[in-house]
Amino acid sequence: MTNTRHSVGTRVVVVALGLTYLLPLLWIVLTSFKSDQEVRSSPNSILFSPSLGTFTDIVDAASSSVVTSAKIAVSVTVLVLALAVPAAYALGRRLTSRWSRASAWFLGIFLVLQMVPQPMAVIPLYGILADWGLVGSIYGLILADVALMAPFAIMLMRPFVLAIPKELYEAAEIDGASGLRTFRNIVVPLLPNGIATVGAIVFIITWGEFIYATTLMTDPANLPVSGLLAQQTSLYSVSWNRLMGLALLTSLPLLAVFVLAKKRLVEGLSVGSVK
Amino acid sequence: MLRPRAQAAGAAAIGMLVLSACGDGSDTGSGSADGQQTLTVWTYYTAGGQNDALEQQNALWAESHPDVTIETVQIPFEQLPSKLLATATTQDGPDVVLDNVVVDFPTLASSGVLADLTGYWDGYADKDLFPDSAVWSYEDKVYNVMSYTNLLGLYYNADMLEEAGIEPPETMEEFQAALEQLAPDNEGSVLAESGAPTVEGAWMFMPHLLGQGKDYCTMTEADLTTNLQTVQGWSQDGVIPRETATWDQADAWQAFMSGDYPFGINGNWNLADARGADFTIGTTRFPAGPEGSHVFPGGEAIGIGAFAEDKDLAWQYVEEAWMSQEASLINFEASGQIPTRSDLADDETITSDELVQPFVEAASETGAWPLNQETAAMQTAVGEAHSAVISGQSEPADAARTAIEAVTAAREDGGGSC
Amino acid sequence: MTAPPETTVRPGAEGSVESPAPGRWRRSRVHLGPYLVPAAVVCALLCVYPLVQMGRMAFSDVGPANLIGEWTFSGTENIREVLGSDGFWEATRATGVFTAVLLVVDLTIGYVAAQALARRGRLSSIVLSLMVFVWALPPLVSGSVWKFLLAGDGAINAVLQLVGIGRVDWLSDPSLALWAVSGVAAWASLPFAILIIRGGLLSIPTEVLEAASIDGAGPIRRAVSVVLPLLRPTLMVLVILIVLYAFRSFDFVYVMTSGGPGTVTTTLPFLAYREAFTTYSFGTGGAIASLSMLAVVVLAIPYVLGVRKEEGQ
Repeated sequence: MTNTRHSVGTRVVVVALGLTYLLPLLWIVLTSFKSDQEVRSSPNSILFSPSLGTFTDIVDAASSSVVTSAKIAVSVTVLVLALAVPAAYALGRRLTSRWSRASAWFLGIFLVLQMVPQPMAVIPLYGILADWGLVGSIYGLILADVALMAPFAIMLMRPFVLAIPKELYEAAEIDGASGLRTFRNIVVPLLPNGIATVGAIVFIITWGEFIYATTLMTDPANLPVSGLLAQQTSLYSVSWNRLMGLALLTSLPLLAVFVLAKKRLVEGLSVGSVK
Repeated sequence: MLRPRAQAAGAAAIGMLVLSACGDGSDTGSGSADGQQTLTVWTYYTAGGQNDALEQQNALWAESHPDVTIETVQIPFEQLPSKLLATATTQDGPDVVLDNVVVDFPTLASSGVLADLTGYWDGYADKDLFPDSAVWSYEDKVYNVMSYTNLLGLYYNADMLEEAGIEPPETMEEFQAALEQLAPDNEGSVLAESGAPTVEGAWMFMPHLLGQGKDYCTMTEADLTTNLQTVQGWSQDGVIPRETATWDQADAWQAFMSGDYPFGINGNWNLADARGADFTIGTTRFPAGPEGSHVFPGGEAIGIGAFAEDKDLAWQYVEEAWMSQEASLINFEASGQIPTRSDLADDETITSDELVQPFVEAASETGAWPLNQETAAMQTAVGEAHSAVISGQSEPADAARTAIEAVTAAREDGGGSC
Repeated sequence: MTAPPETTVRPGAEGSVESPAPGRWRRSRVHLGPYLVPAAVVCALLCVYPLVQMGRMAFSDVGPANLIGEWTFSGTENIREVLGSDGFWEATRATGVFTAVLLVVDLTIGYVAAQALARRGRLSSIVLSLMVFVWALPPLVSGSVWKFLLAGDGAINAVLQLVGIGRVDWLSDPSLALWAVSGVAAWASLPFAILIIRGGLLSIPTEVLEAASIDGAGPIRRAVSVVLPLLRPTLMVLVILIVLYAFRSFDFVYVMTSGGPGTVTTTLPFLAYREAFTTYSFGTGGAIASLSMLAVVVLAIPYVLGVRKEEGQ
C-alpha cells in the first residue's frame, strides 16, 4: 500500500486538508512579523511592512527555554517509552484467558488514572514532589510529566503489540528463548513503528504541557517553552505578535523531531522482519 | 540500530534522575554566604507598562539596597492562585506577591499563604494617606495593600464624535442618546466592551447598577432585569456586536483601537497604549446614573508570603518600592495605573495628564466589593447573565432570576456577610 | 494483581491464546507480570494519590481555608448539589455534543486522510509534517488563531461576505458557538488521530492487503472486511482517548469562549475547573470531575470488555 501512487481523488483530499492547516499557520507567521501597532489596527491584513522586531526581542528568551524544554521532553519521552513498551507488551500479549482478564482490569485502571484533570492533580502532586525535595527542579517536572503520559502511552502502544503474530512467540518458546530474550530480540525490534509514533506524540505533548510546568517550576530562568508562552497573556493584554513569534520559534525543534521520527513512520514495519 | 542509542539515552536520563534526588531541589529561599540577600517577587504581569514599572521600581530599591537582589517570577495569571495555594504544603513560597485581590483575596487570606501585615501597617507612617479601599482585611487582620488601583472609564474616539457632533456624554441618558444616534452609521460597532461570562464581564457591567445606588448585596432581581434589558437593547440595536458576549477586556480594547468604534469601556492601564493610537482619543468617566458615576476599584494588591524568611525586609521593599511617593509616581508614569496615595492626587505629574483625570476622579468614588468568601462566585454569576443576554441565549428576566439565585446562594455559602 | 499469570490454557479457546498443543497442560517460562511493574510503580506513586484526593474532595467540604489541611466529610452533599443544578446537565449535554463532533470528525476524516497519507510521496510527507507542526502548537496559540479567524471581522467572515453569504457570529451565536468550538477542537486533534490510524495502517502487513486485492476486493470492501477489523484495537484506543480528552480537557473552550456566550460552551471539565479554581468551591469541582470520570468509565466498559474478548477473535 505504501507504494501505490496518489490518485486524483486522494490528491484533492490531501491538498484540501493541507490548506486547512496551512492557512492558520500563515496567519501565525504574518502576525509574528507585524508590529504591535499593526496587530491592533489590522489583525487580519495581509499587506503590511514586515518587521523583525518581534523576533529580535524574543530570541534570547526563546533559546534558553528551548534548551530546557528539550531536556524535559527528551527525558520524559525516553522514560515513558521505557515504562510503556514493557507494560504494553505485558498487556498486549495474549497468554492465558486469565491474564487477558487481568489485562483488561489494568487497562481500565490506567484509563481511570488519566481522568484527573490536570489543574486538580497539580496540588496533590506538588505535595508529593515537595516531600521528595523535587519542587522547583526540572526533575520533579519530568517525573510529573512521566506520570501524566505513561498510562496514555501504554494504551497507545498496546495495539502495536497486538499486531505481532503469535506464531513468533511460539517459535521463540520452541527455540527455548527466555522471556527477556523474547522481549528484547523479538518484540522490541518489531515495534519501531509504535515506538516512533508513540514517542513522537509523547514528545510533542510534553513540549506543550504548561500547567505542571508553570506550577512546579519556580525559577523563571528554568521555565520551558510552554510556560513562556503561557506567560504572554494576562488579565490586561495579550501581545499577539510575541505570542505567535514565540510559538513559531519554539515549535521549530519539534518539526525536526518529527521529521526524524517520520522516516520510521513512513517506512512502517519493514516487511522482511516479520518473516 | 535505534536501540543501543535509545538504551544509552534511557540510562543517562535515569542517571540524571537518581543524581537529582540526592542533590538540589529546594534551591529557593533567601540569604547566602556573602551577605547578599534575595527577595522573590511573584506577579502575573506580562509585557508592557506593568513590567516596565516593576523594573524601574526595583531599580529604585536597588539604589538604596545594593545587597538585596530582587528576583521577579512571572506566573501566568491563571496559575498564580493555585501555585500560591500549593506553597502551603511546602511552607516555601514567595517573599512578596502581587495578587488579583478583587477576586482572590478571601481565598488567599483564609488559606494562610499570606502573612499578617497588621503590625507593619499599623506602624506605617503614611498609612493615613491611603483610602480604606486600599487596605484589605480578613477577620480584622490586614493581608493585602494596594499602592495603585485600576478603574474603568469611557474612552471615546474624538474624531468620530466630532464628526457626528456629539459631546462626550456624562450621564447614562446622554450616553444612551449618543449610542442611538451613532448606531445607524456604525452598525454593530458603536461600543467596545467586555461581555465574557466571567468576572471581567461582570466588572464592566456592574457600574450600571452602582450608578443607581445598588451593588452585589443590595440589587434586586428587578434591578438586574432592567439593566440587562438595557444591554439587550444595545445588542439588538447594533450598538455592541454580539461577539461582545465572549470578549474579555483585552479583546474589547483591541476592537476599540481598530478605530471603528466611537466608544470603548476599558481601564486606565490602557492609557499608555492609547497615546499611540492613530486617532484622537478622549476619556471621561463611566456614564453616571441617578446616584452618580461609580466603578469598582481593581488592580493588584501587594502581600507578603506567609513563609517569607525575612518579612521585615519584605515589608521594607513593599514600603519603598511600592507604597512610597516616589515609587507610586514611577509606577504611574510607566503604566498609567492610579496611585492610591491621596497626597499624589494634586501632583503635577498626574494633574497635567488630561486623559488620566477621569480615572483619578473615579478613584475617590468607587463602589464597594462584597466582603464575602464567595465573592468570585457572585461576580461570575453576574458575568454569565450578562453574556447570556448579549448573545441572545437568555431573556433578561430569566438571566436575572438565575443570577440572583446564584448570588444569594453564594452569599450564604460564604457566611452571609457582604 | 501483579502475580505471575498462570499459563494453563482452556481447552475451549483453541487458537486464541498461544497454545502449541490445545488441551494439554504445560508450564511456560514466560511471566508477563514483571514487565508491568515499573509502570505500575510510577503510577501508584504519582497518579493514584491525586485521584484519591479528587474522590475525597467530592465528598468533603473543601474551600480555600482548608484546602491544605483537614477536610470535613460532608457525605453526598456536593454530589447532590451538582446533580440538582441545571448548569451540570447543560454542561453534560454540551460535553456530549463536543465529544460527538470530535469522534465523527476524527474517525471519518481521520480514516480517509490516514489512508491517503499512508502512501509514499512528497505531497503526503509535506502535508503530514504541516499537520503535525500545527498540532504541536499549544491550544493557547491555535485556539487564539481561530478566535481571530472566526471573529466578526475575521478572515472567514470576510470570505463569506465576498461570496455574498454575509457575516456569521461563529463564537457568539448561542446556536453555533458550541459547534464552532467543537469543530476547532476536532480540527486540532485530527493530526493526532491521523498519526494513530496511519500507524495502525502501516502495521498491517502488505501481503494481507495484496492478497485481498488479488481476490478482487475493491477499495471499500477491502476497507470494511480486511482493514477495519485489523484496525479495531487501534480505533478503540483512539475512541477512548478522544472521549477521555473531551471529558477532562477544556483548553479550546477556555481560550475561545470562556464557556460562553452565557453558558453555551461550558463543558463538564470547564465547569469543574471554574468551580474549583475560579470560585474556589473545590468540593463541587471535585464532585463534577468525579462524575465525569464515572461517565468515562461507563463509556469505557465496551473497551475493557473488548480487551477481554480479543482472545476469542
